[in-house]
Amino acid sequence: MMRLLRIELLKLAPAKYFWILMMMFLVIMMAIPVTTVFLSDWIVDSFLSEVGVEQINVLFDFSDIWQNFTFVFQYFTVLLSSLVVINVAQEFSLSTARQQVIDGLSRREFFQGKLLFIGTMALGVTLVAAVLCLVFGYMYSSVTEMDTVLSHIQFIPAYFLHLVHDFLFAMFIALLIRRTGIGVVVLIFYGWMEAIPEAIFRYGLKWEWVANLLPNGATKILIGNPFPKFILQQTDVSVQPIDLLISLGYIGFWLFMNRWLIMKKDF
Amino acid sequence: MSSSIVLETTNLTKHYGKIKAVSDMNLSIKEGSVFGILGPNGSGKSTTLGMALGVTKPTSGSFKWFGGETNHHVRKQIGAILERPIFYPAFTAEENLRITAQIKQVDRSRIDDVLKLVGLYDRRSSKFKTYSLGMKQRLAIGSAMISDPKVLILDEPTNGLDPQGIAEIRGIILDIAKKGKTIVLASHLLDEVQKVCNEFCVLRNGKLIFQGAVSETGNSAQQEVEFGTANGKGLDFAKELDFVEVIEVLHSGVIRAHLDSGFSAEKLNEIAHSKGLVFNHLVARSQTLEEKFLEILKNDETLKS
Repeated sequence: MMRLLRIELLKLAPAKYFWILMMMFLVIMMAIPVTTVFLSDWIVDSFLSEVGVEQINVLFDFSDIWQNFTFVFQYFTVLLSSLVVINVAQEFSLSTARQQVIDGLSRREFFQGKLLFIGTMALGVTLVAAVLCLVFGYMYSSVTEMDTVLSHIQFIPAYFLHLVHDFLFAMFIALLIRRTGIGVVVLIFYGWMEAIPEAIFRYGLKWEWVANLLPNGATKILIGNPFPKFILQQTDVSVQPIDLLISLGYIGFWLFMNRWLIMKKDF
Repeated sequence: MSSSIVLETTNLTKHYGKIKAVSDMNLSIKEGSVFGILGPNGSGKSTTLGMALGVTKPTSGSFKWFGGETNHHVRKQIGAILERPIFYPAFTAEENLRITAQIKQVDRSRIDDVLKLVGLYDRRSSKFKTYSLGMKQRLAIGSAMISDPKVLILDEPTNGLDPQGIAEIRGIILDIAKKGKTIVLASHLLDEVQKVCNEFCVLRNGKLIFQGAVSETGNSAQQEVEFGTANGKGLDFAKELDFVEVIEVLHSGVIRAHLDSGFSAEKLNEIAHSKGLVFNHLVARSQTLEEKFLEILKNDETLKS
């Protein structure tokens, strides 16, 4: 297993696209809480200080912070999914996957290597998200009691599942198309196109559950939109078991499809 | 030289829909041989090798490496390049070979060894995409040699190279062959196979139509001669002898003919002399591989019709 991971790392370390996309993503991740701090300070300074409000750091409050930030981070996952598409599709457009099989890698090992890469990246990004939430939470949250801090930490594993799902879906597109450029375009385009049937089901036919079954939506529902709460005073504040089931189902489905594409097709 | 079999295929077949890329291929390659796979483009050379190397799924049939193994570990002991050198273009030679070394589970020190072997050590830190075609081809051979394999498989290794590049690659191949390694060389160039290989087979339309030793083609059963006499009586003379088969009469009465086995140009000359006939032209031609190849293709065609 370490050998397969090492092979994947040797393929990534000198790769420019990996560092560019990864850095972009990490910068955006950190910019989100920082911008929120500046923005809320500015709002307080210019409008609310006159009415006696000193701080509006509700967004950073434990335990809401887990949901608030992972929800926003999700919208930037496409950067990392593109990275996965490039990484996997390139192996076929350059024929390096073919050469590696000739050199003695089995198809199964190739598949496992890619899964290790996806899993490691998802784990790393999840850890960064968790650390950011903790740091900014302790800096700005009005409550810092351990019980409250940890009460909604379930959104962190939910974020991990969301990443794993989206990366597996990206891998599926890459294995199907085998071209980096078109692969990325299809990935992004699909993200937009899914909004159409989703809107029809959700708002037109009011079949919310069907809308939740579409692949892109399937993992986003794990982390419900936390912001209506500030206006409507109601929202999901935990991961729903049924949503978890749908996500795990999709993860299993993409795993199966990806394995099938690697084992069956000519390299 | 041991005579154990390195690769044996049994009725190996690959169909792409209606197209029969390879049909019932039965090949056997002996250890220590330099084996040429000869055939026009599209005759199934790369498809056959691709199946034996696990990248193309056979429609039916089977293959065995070293007498029995079929799993992927066996490929670590094989160095192979199919069609063209394949590396990550933006990575340096060294970075590329690190991946190969990790896949084949060999020590990193082998990277420098093979880079020196193919004369690319000084350019090890240059990106692959900056290499000339000849250098790319050399790096591919180096990469194939990294696990010090028992068998080296090269598919059209001199394709698209200039004469100097071709000479370099052939030099490297012959050096490797001298070390007793089995080399399989797929090529559409007859001359290349004749210069490098000691055994060869011919593929056509996905079928194996001939397998034999290259040396056999030099003294095949039939020898071809050209002879002519000053008085123009050569043709009558030739028709009297039943071991002579006249092929054609060339310019100025020169006759091209096949001699049955056991008869040589020397013998022909002796008989002519005893009958008072003097040759003013006598050439014994050993059949070149090219003629053999064309003859094989011709025979195959007649078989079909």
